[in-house]
Amino acid sequence: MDKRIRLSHRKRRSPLQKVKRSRAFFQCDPKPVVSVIIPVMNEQRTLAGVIREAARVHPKTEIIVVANGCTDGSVRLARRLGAIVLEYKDPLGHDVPRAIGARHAKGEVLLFVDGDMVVPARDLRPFTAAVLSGIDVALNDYDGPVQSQEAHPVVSAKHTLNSFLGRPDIKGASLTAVPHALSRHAVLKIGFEALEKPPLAQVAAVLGGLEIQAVHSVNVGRLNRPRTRLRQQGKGDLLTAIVIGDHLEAAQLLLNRLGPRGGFSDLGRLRERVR
Amino acid sequence: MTRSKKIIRTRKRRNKPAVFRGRKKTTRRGRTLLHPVGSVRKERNRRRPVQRTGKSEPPRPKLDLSAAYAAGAQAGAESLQLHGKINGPMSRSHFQSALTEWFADHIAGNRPPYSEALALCSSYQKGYAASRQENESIYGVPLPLVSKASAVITACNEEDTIGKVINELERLPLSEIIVVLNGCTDNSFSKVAWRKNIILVNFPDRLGHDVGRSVGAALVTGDSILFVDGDMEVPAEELGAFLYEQEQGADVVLNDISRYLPPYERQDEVTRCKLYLNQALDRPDLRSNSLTAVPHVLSRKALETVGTEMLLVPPKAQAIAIMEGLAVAAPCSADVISRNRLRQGNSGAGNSVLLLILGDHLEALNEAIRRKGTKLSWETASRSQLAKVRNG
Repeated sequence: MDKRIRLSHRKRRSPLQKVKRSRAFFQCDPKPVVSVIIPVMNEQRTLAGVIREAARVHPKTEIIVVANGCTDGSVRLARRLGAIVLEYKDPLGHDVPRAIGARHAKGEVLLFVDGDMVVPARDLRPFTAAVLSGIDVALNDYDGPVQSQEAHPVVSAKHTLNSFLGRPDIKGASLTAVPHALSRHAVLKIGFEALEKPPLAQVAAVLGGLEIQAVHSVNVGRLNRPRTRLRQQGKGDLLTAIVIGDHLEAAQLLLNRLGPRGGFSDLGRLRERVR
Repeated sequence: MTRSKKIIRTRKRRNKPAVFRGRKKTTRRGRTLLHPVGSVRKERNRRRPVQRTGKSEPPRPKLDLSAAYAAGAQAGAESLQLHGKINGPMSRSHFQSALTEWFADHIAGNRPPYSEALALCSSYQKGYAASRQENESIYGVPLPLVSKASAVITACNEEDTIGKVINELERLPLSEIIVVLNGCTDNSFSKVAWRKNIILVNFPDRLGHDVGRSVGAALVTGDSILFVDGDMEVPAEELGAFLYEQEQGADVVLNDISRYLPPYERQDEVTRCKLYLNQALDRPDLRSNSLTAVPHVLSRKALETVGTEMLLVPPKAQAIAIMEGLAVAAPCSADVISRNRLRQGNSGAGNSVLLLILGDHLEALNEAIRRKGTKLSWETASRSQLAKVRNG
């Protein structure tokens, strides 16, 4: 018998059972420096790992789990692990829970991660460190798949929005992607409402004169759970439509604030010459 | 459990006999190789010839070039009787009408692709010229155009190239050529002024980017309008494709530049925002092709629907054309990337032309949002619905 077969015969423990042995390995700091905000919807499989890594980011950390529409043991698991849990019956998506978590956060640095992918703490620390060193918005330096000639609409929208904002240097980095960290100052400047739609928040951040940097690259495309079933059902486009819609809304905000050309020059076009 | 046993078990499960159709190959030490030459597995992995399905297009009939030549020769003989040996506007217009008539009869409603049409018409032209004992090149590019075509050239200080650009255009069966000069301080004017059959519009002031095109478009009378720039000579054969495709039914014929583009990560911001506009308008098939690039052709219908005054912001005109349901397509391509001249202001990051084009695209988005609402046609599920589908 080789090792693989022996391992497969071993009894699988549910995530809840696994935690029992190492109970309460984490306690939220009463005066935290870093608040880690984790939106969770039925993420039992990965949540323990996510919380474990989040706890290692900074000595003074609080972990806020925003559970929405959970029907599995995610909530109990998060409570048992020592996180602050905000529970909502209805599913809210990814972005609204982030804004809710931000309202409750007490730390100076707000680190946003997802409940469905375990990003190791060594890949999270650069974000908090950047914010602690004075950057307002520390983004994931991840552009998505850009090797092909024609980029996916979401990738294209992120790049172009940054160009429109005069920040082509951060390429496809976006508040849509985790992990990213914001300073408390940035959150207040952007406003909790704008945080519910990340591209809007990005526009608000740039227009508010906040310092935005893509600080560290985490390949979340690879870490993300593949959802082939959705793609087969043709529902993979739902997310695309929402993200594109958000980006269009962001462009509209930019146009409302800076005029119909978004503040770009006309290079001396004599428009009145045309009838 | 050894590896070879494992393989036998797999075969049992698949009910496939382990047949080795070749000699058993062994290594130097005498061990039998896992997959001997010609083994079942190799057979299975072999690349099979692509199965042709019934869906593919019926094979095109072979081009009958000699028939085209003969028809041309006959038409040439007729013209010799009608107009005599002297080559003038009469014989040229006779050639054009004879060619168009013959082409319409010959293809009988089944329009071939441009390359084939050009080959047929060239043969016809050769026959025509031969029977008149002329050099065929005096008839230019044989293009079977039914409708009246116009061309608009815009130029600002292009004395070196404007002459060559007009030379190329004169090889096409165009009804008029309009040259819009603006802000020229060099000899561009005198390079154009001596030419016959050209409508010259001269503005002493610089009109700015794309304004000249809009001014020219307001003057044209043709059914299709070919727009080119005075700084770049594109061979007439390539330009003809745009006019040919317009007659195929497209209202807006864009230049397909995708084959000249690097992968997305190395593209410039202009190319990227062109792609984004097309994607946002739900026309990802148009890729990075845009009215910002020349050459392109507009139909009279497109010009009237979009409005000549919109042409001065090309992405905006494109967005309107798409939203109005005009047939926008990019079926043919002319290499303008490598022919384009790099100059101060249009190269490098943060250059002024780049910022202008970014502004144009925002203006186009603004127009689209004004007409169709914030989310254009992307309104679908709410966030909670999406969450249910993804994680429920």
